Amino acid sequence: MNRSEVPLLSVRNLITSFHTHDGIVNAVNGVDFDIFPGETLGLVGESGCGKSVTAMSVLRLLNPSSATTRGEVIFKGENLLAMTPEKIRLIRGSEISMIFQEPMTSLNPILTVGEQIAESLRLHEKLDQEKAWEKAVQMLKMVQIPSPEIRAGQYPHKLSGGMRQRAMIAMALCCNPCLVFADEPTTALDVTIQAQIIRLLDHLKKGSNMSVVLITHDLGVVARMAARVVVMYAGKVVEEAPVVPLFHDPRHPYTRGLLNSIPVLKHDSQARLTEIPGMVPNLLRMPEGCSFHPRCSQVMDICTKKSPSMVHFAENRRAACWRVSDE
Amino acid sequence: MTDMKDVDKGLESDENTASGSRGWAKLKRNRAALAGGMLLLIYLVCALGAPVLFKGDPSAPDLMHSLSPPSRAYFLGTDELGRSILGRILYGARVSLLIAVGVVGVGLVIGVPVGLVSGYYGGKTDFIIQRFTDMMLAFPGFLLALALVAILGVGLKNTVISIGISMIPLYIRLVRGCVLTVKEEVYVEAARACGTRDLNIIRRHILPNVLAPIIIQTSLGMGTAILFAAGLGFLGIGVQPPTPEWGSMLGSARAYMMGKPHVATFPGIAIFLAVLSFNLLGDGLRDAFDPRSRI
Repeated sequence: MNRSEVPLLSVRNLITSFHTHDGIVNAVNGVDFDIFPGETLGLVGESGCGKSVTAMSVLRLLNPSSATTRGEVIFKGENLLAMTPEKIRLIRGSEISMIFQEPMTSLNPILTVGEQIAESLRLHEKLDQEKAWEKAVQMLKMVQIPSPEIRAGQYPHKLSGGMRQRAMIAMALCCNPCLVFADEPTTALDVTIQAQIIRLLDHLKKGSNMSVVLITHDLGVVARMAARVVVMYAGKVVEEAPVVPLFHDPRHPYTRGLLNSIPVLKHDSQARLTEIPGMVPNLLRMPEGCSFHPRCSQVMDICTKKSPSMVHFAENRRAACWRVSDE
Repeated sequence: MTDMKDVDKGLESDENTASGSRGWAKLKRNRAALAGGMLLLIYLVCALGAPVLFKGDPSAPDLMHSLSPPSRAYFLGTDELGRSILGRILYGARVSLLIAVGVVGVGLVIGVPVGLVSGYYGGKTDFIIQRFTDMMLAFPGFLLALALVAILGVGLKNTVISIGISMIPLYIRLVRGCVLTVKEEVYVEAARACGTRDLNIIRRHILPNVLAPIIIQTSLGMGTAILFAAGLGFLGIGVQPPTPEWGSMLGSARAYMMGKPHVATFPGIAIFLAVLSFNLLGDGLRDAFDPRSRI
């Protein structure tokens, strides 16, 4: 990847706070990252670390009465967070789109699959009903759904989980967006279908200059698809690296913990899987200092007092850990 | 991809298992709902076919035959002015149907859009609308209708308007509650992520998914509307004589209750059956289509 390129999307100091009865919760707390044209970026972390909220904040899909988003999201030179609602609405679906986690619930049960894809085409590409339908069928064919003409006229309950996820992908890609947020696109599917969907996404990506932000906790998927990985913990970026160095030489103890908790088949079957002890901290009662220190195996004195700042220690690599800054 | 082909073969012969058809099957098995449907049908035939079923003017007095008991000439007897009770009940069915449709119409036209907006947008809009609804719901429905009649005055139109207004908060609450559930669905989020306009999301994705409870409420609401209208008529502040209206028939028959019970009995039975038919059908619809009661 050529770093001199202008990023397609730059997220700078993104903070998303939710107003709850118990107080204000910063689900995303100062996240920065860039996405370059044609690149696949993996956004990795445990459940509740703010991956999905980051994506929702970028597209401004969170309910403004319960969540506020600050910071900057520069897309093609414009700040998405400062745009009028009408302008961002036109960007959604046409330039930036999203694939959701739950294929079982992400399609409206009372509209046919074709209608749902055609809706977006009519809106953004101004196609008439017939043309939009034709293109919807084409899209279903592109995502390798067999007999797309018949499937387009069917309601979602007649499609299997894998097929629904394909339809969802068709819906997200129908207006040729330049950036797609894929929010755990394979989590709700069984393993064989997961592989099919990943292959499909990879295949579709190769045919275009589309950038993909792959949000997942599945490191296997990341290893297969992403070129660069951003690791998040408790609403913050803790490490960023190209995929190969990250897997070979993780620097943040949290990344190391994540990689160690992948089961390896060759292992002695009696051996216990390594885990990261403890739980993700309650966002209302964040620990002082580094938010990972209560679970960290290499905790130092300073970790409990001061939050580490991000250190760029090599080309394209950065991490927020006192151990890294010491080196 | 052989598995895909197998799936494909079954495509067209695939039986329609949509929740809608399952609901209909369930409704057909429900005897009470069927009975309600039959009663409703009879009621509709009476209301729409009144001029055919009863020749003559139901409001023309015939004092020679006042308060006569049921006989061959007067099937259900006559009232204090000698008017056929059968005729007045048949024509009264038209009035009560008109009221039921009108009242529910007022409730739907105002309550549903307001409920949709309140639920979908949330925040301050929702807060203001809900406090207003709270205020209206603080009054018992009938009392609110009574107060509105006192302001607007008597007559058919005002009866419809005041009962209709008293029902608006029920629709707002119902629709808002359903919207709150539906708007959290991923497909609504997906539609927003596709850039769909709010109005289109409400119209295409939310409204159709909250239609079932609205239909149920409509059926139950018609029963309540008839009962409320009869109540107002009974008190003499609803539809005014000589228009045949069940409640006012009951009201004027009160004086002859001991000596000539038939004068009060038959309009009472008419009200009872009409309300019962809507309630049975409404309950049946709810059992069949309300996702919360689906086992």
